[in-house]
Amino acid sequence: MVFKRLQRGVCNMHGYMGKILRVDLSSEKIWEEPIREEDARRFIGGVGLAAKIIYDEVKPETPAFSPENKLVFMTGPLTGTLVPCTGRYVVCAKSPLTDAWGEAHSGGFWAREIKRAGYDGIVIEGMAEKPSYIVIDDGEVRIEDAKRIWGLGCLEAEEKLKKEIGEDFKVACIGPAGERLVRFACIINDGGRAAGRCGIGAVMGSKMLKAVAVRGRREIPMKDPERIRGILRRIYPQIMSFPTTQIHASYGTSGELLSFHQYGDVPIKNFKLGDWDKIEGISGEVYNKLMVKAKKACWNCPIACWRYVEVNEGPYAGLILNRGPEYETLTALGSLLLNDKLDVIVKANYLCNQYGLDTISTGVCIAFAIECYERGLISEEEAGMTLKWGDSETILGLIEAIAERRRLGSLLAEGVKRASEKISKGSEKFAMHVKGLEMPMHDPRAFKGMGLQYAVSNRGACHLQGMVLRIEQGERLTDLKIYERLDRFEVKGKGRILAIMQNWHEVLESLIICKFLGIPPGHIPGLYTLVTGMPTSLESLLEAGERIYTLKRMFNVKCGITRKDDVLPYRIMYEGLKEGGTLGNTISPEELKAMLDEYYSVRGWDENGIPRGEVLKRLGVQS
Amino acid sequence: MEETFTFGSEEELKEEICKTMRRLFNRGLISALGGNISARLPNANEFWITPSGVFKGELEPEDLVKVSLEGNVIEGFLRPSVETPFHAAIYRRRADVSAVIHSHNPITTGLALAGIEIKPVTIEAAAVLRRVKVVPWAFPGTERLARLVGEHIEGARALVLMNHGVIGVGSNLLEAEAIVETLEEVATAQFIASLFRRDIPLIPEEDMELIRRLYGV
Repeated sequence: MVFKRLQRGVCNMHGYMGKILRVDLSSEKIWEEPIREEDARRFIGGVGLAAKIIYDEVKPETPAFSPENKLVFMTGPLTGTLVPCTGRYVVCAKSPLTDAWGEAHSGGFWAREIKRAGYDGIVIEGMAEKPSYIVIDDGEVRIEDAKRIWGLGCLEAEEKLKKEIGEDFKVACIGPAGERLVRFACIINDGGRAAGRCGIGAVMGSKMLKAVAVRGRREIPMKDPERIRGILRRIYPQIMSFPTTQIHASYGTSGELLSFHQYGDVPIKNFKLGDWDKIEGISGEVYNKLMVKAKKACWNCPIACWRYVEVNEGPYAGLILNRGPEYETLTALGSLLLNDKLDVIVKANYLCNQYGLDTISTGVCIAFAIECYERGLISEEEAGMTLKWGDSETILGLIEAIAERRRLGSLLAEGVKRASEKISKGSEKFAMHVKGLEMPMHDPRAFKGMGLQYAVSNRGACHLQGMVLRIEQGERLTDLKIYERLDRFEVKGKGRILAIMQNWHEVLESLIICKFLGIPPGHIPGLYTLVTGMPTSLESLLEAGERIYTLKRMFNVKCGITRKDDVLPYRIMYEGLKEGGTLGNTISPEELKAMLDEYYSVRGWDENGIPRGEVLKRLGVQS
Repeated sequence: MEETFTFGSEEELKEEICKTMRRLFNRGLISALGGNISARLPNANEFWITPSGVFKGELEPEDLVKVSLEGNVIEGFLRPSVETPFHAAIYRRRADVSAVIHSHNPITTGLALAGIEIKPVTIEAAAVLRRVKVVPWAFPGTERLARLVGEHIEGARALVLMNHGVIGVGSNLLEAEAIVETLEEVATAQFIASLFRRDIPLIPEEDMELIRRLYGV
């Protein structure tokens, strides 16, 4: 155990706490580093500062599970402030799924507590000799033995830890999946919020780090809180009038499920079907009516898309989920597997939360396994059970097998890319991933811009980095010079729109503001200035967004990523759906090529997808 | 240095924009989320405009945003009104205009939706408003709307935006305010009359002829 009293820092930049906590688990060394104002201006915070740290300090050839890989938790200058929807953090590392850039995001209260404890972020390197956890108690930091909680589920470990060290601690931890290096293990905080994607939980597990518990009592400095309060009070009528805000407030993200299904966007049966007559059974309306007991909200969020769920009847009656399934989980563990039983989805979600598994990747791996089984590529003996679509035993059994790395589960725990390479025999054609990250629950055949987004996103198939489907649905963002309406099946123009949206989302994820906040981009520079005291403009924020996005691309380029990796699964490119709202559509190789050409050109990248020297020079990114 | 006559300082202008907003809000011509106002010092190449999405009934001078005639933000923290492009388009075309009000006059907008044009039912309708043109539908905040408004504002003091609201312009804020208020007053009178009779009596032709000659309608 190491105990070290750390100095309280003084920071001139409001919004920021001014310090990053550094922990080397190998040497048990703990120290602090100041955030330089220049870095804050150029990379904002959040994912921007995390990208800079990883780009500067993690060699591209470093294996994801090596002690040299760094786990970077970051908050942003707006985190935990009066600005609404600022309860989120980002955690980044080299991903064990993609062997390239990895990032995951989560809401709740943990992020604000990090700042209240005096830090903007935590950088963890090395590997502990034995299972450990870190306690950050208002600037006092120590590494503790995690023997008592190692092996416990995330929710159990959090509960036990809080009982031992104090109920007012906020905890982010991994479950057995992370401990066993399941490549899509996640980190769970605040009793069910998940930093889900890219296997960041497995990186944490590889460092023998079970949890980070944090408690703080400091005020987060804001330059002009009275003015912020005054403005926000008067902006709320507009924020709450935003269409998706209304839906998310009423039903959570599941409220959009039926509308997405009409587009033919909801993946069904491993992206094989475009329509499903049982879709209404897992819709937001039904789910909210049957299961939802309360609505909850992250720090300072007026939307409250978080759903507290209890199963009323059947074999799982009485099961409570502090954070019940949202859209991605309802579909990944529902329609993707032809599972229309809401209680089974809730149970599967519960297992994923306890084991610490990303529900999206888990669903995709299970769908892949069932299709392999159906095609005779996996035998009953290899699977250890009969695999059937919509079968609760198959779904729940495979979740346990994956987390415990038993039989077929051990292969699936490697992620769908590696599993399909091992099984081969054409299974690669229905292994739904990009760069190794399993596909999220928006079928890109329904929104071709999303296809481009999946193909080029730095962390692999990512629905959040750009959310270009919003523009394809008809949203205009005049502040970002997106005036035109683009047909969802059109190819032309998508490259330009995506590049703008990606840059903007890097800004949001650096500040950090939840993307569900319906606040127009034009208001953000003012709020940033009033929080930090550092004047900025939309143009300068967007340039920072471009810098951050490019930096991550350059990290990937150094990891060997080029145009050849900016691809889509075979099924998306060659197999049109035979029913539903996206009937017959694919994203053909020619269409993808056209979109990539436009996208690379807009970004100033060469034909191989590598940022040109003049772009790097303009943005101040070292090659 | 050459002395020039001014109507007041920018600070006074900003105060006056907020006061105008409050008056129109209280009259129901600007709603919590709908409507915007801008004004400039005469012949200035920039103007102050109300912010987008901020509750209109309680605007304060420090909420306002200064933008150039090209629509670029020069000063201010908040997001300028989404309709900044059409305000800028009006100032670019009309050196005589120093104030633009876009209000959501319910009855005027309703008459336009019903396909009924504003007629010379009162002296104000004939003399103050002159001929009120209707700008065809264009999505709010777009360059297309700005272009259409720019085209229609030549020789006009008031415009109706189809499915959207109205625009009043003036050499100062009080004039622009008078225009949008008069428009609603006339529309209301015309609307009430239309409930009871089909052939609403207009200003007699001989008087209209005089007005035409006097006001160049």
